[in-house]
Amino acid sequence: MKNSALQTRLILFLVALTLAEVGITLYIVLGDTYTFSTTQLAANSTRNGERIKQQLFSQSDRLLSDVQRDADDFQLRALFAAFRNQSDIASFRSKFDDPQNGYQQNYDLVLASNERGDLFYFSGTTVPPSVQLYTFADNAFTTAQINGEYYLIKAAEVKESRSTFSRSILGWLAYGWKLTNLFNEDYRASIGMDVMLYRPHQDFSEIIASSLGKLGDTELELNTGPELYDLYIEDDHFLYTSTLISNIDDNPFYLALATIEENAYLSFNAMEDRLLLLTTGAAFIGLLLAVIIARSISRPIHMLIDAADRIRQGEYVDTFPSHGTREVAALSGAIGDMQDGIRNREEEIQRLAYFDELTGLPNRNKFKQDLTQQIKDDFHTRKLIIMMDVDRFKEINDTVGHEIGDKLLRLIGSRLSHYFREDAYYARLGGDEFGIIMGLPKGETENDVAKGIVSHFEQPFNLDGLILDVDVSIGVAIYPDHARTLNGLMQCADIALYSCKGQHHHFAVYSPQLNKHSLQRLNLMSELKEALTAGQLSLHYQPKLDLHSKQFSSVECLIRWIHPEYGFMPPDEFIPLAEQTGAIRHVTHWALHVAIHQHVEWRSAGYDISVAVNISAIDLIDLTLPGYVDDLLQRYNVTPEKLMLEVTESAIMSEPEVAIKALNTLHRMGVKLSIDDFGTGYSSLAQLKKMPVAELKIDKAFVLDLANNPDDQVMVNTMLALAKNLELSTVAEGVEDLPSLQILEKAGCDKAQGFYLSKPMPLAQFNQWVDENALQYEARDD
Amino acid sequence: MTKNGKLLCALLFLSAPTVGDTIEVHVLQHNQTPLQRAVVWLVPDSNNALPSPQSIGAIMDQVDRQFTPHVLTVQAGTKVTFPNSDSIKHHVYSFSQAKSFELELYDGLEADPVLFDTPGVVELGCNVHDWMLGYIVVVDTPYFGYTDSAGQLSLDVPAGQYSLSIWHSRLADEPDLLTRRIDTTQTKVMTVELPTPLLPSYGDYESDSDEFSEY
Repeated sequence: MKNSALQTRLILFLVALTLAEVGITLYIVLGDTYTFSTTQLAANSTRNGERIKQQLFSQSDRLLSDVQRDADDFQLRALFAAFRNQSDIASFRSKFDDPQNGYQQNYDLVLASNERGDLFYFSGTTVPPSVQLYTFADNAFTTAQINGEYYLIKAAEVKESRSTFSRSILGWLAYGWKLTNLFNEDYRASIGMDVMLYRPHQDFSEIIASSLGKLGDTELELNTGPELYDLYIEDDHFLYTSTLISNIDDNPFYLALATIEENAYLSFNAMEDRLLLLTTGAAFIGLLLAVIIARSISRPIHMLIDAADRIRQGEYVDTFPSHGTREVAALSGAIGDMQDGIRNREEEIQRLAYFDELTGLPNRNKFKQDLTQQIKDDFHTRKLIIMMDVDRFKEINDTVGHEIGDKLLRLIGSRLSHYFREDAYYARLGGDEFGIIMGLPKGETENDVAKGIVSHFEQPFNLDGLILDVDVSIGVAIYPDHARTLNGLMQCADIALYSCKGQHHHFAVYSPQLNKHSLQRLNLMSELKEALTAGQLSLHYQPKLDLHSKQFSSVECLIRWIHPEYGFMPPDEFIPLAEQTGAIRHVTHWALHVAIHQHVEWRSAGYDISVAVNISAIDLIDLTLPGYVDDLLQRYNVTPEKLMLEVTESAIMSEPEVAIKALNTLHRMGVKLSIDDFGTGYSSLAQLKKMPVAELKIDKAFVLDLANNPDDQVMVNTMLALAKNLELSTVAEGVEDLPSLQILEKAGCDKAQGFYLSKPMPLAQFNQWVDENALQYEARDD
Repeated sequence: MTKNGKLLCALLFLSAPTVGDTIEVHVLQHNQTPLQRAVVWLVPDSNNALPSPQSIGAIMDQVDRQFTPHVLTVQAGTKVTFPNSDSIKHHVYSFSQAKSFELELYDGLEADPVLFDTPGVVELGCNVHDWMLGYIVVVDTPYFGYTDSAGQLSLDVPAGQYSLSIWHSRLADEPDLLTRRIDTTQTKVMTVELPTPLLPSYGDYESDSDEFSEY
């Protein structure tokens, strides 16, 4: 039932309702009708009883009027007078006994008495009844039992004169009718009921007269109330009511109106059958209606379900069931609205999923989808797939803020799509990267196209008054020359783009050579993590000579990656990659660990060698570095002064605030900091002053050719003087010959490092070197 | 009353004996009010000396479909004439024991006089006009009269022992109850009080009838 169809439920419900309704109707109507029928029967009986009572009384009145008429009769009074005055009974008798006069015929009983009540004449009975005739003179239903027979008796005074005020009574005249003669078949014919006149006695009812012929000697005990009572005579079941006819001297006469039970409910039974037929018909019609209604309700719902299903499957449904109930119409409307809502949200999601919010251009996903579609739709036509990014966008963003950076991206997008070629397809692939799909215009080479794009960025951007020169790099791949697949094309364009970064070209068109290098490069990144655990990375140590003590008191630890396939990997190649992917953190942590560990090894071997480890900008931004360093120092029980961290100028400058915070923490720990490659970056002296560095490392660019280049000598001298003023120690790297070393020594440089002194050495070699030289410097002339 | 009636009455009173005692009879109704038009008669214990009834007889007239007078008292042996003063016929009859007779439909003086010789009350009716009711009180004495509006009657009777009887058409009581013994030598005034109220009268029904207001 729980999951049964609405229609089934509805039908069941309506059927149940109809049946209940029919049942209740039948129950109530039949009950009421029965009650009504019973009540009506009772009322009918009572009414008939009253009617018969009236008839009896009218007969009584008739009898009374007869006897009164005769009592007034002059001749009859003369006869009464003759009897009284002359004791002439013969005359009297001759009048009443003569059949020709009709008294015997009309009356069952004739009685006459004198004024004192002495009966002097009686007919119709052999025994003189002991009755006082005056008791029958009123207009009540007066009866008397005479000689076992009940009579209705009416009497009248016979007066000497007829005046109302006559006081001279001659006697009384009375006529009687047998009660049994008053009840005959006529009653049954006229009222359809049987009539019984009875007198209730102590424990039986004396039936005086009855229209029921077969009563016989049946002894009955009849009730005397107005209700309907049961009466069983032989095999018949009667229902009767009783009516009081008269009650003279506590001698009541009752009339019972009896009906055979089947006859009593004859009309009721017929009606019951009709009602049953009617309600059954109604129930059947109700059932039909129920089915129709249920269908009419469930059909539009089924249609709605179907519509909802189609919506679920992503279809758009235009027509909903509009007919049916208001609720269905409302539901239709609601589902329609829901569909519209879904459609709107889908479009919004699509927009968010496939369009870049900032520029309004398609995003990377959309770009890929549409590129796939374009290839699929039109695989004959050559196409250019161009990737473009903004050079040093990160720096621009950092310098001018994200808001303006975003605005710049918007303007770039707009400049591309509105001013370059309107027929081309533009997308923002993410960050500062844009993608373009376009056919190769006739008479133009891919280089022309790329140059065209670049030329659009020669004009500076005006960002709320800020004039910004922007360079872009462009990588171009050609379908189907370079690749036929989406991924292939995008990779080719990407590789081309990346290649121009290293070559400082504004654009590059893909070539398989680029691919080879690039692929290797991409693979490297995934392999770097493995390299850390697989022991492919190692530290090489390059001694630094203390120009004051002529001792090699410290080493720079340099990371070397011997790739199992490619062999030696230059740090210049993989470190920037590691910085890009974030893997640099693991690399730095590894290097610090190994360096400290090695310092402890050397210490236990009796050599006090400070270690310098290069850290990158990413490491400085990552605030876990100070904690990690502290951890290492504690673990290996190394004094912080033995660790020198070398940071490039540019690393600090990328995010100075965070970098300085990290450097300060390290500084407070006692770790020495060194600015690497000093002089190549854009460090401001003000910032340099703020930084808690202990050492400046003069870039090898100034040192390599120091002996022969006076400009370099000026630079080096200046830098050394600067460092001295800032109370920073100095290290010169790239010392490749003795004269340079001597110049540095003379200029007051604190430490020197370079191939002239020693190349970076793997551990074993370095250890051997240490053992041979015992860290002592001996000038050599090579 | 018609001229005839008045004349007859005058004759009756004139014929009354003039010697003896005058007795005064007061008749009171049950409610102590005087009963007028009550017949009072005195029957002497010894009827030797009773004078004969007037030979001229008495008259019971029929006027306007009523017996006039309503009550006529006669000494037994008196002939009563029933003249019909109406323009229509009357059929006077009586079934009373004292006198049963019938004067079939007649006009004026067509009917013969009827002799009333048995004491008693004779109820008269008319077989044509059922409402007509009259009484002839036949008494065995010449000493009778009617009470006046004060319920009083004075009768001059020879001194002696009498039975005093009273009758009234509306009397409900048995006549015996109203019979008194009277010795006129000792009792001059007698008051009789009805033990029960009177029966309804015509006047109760026909209050504005001049003809019967006196009853």
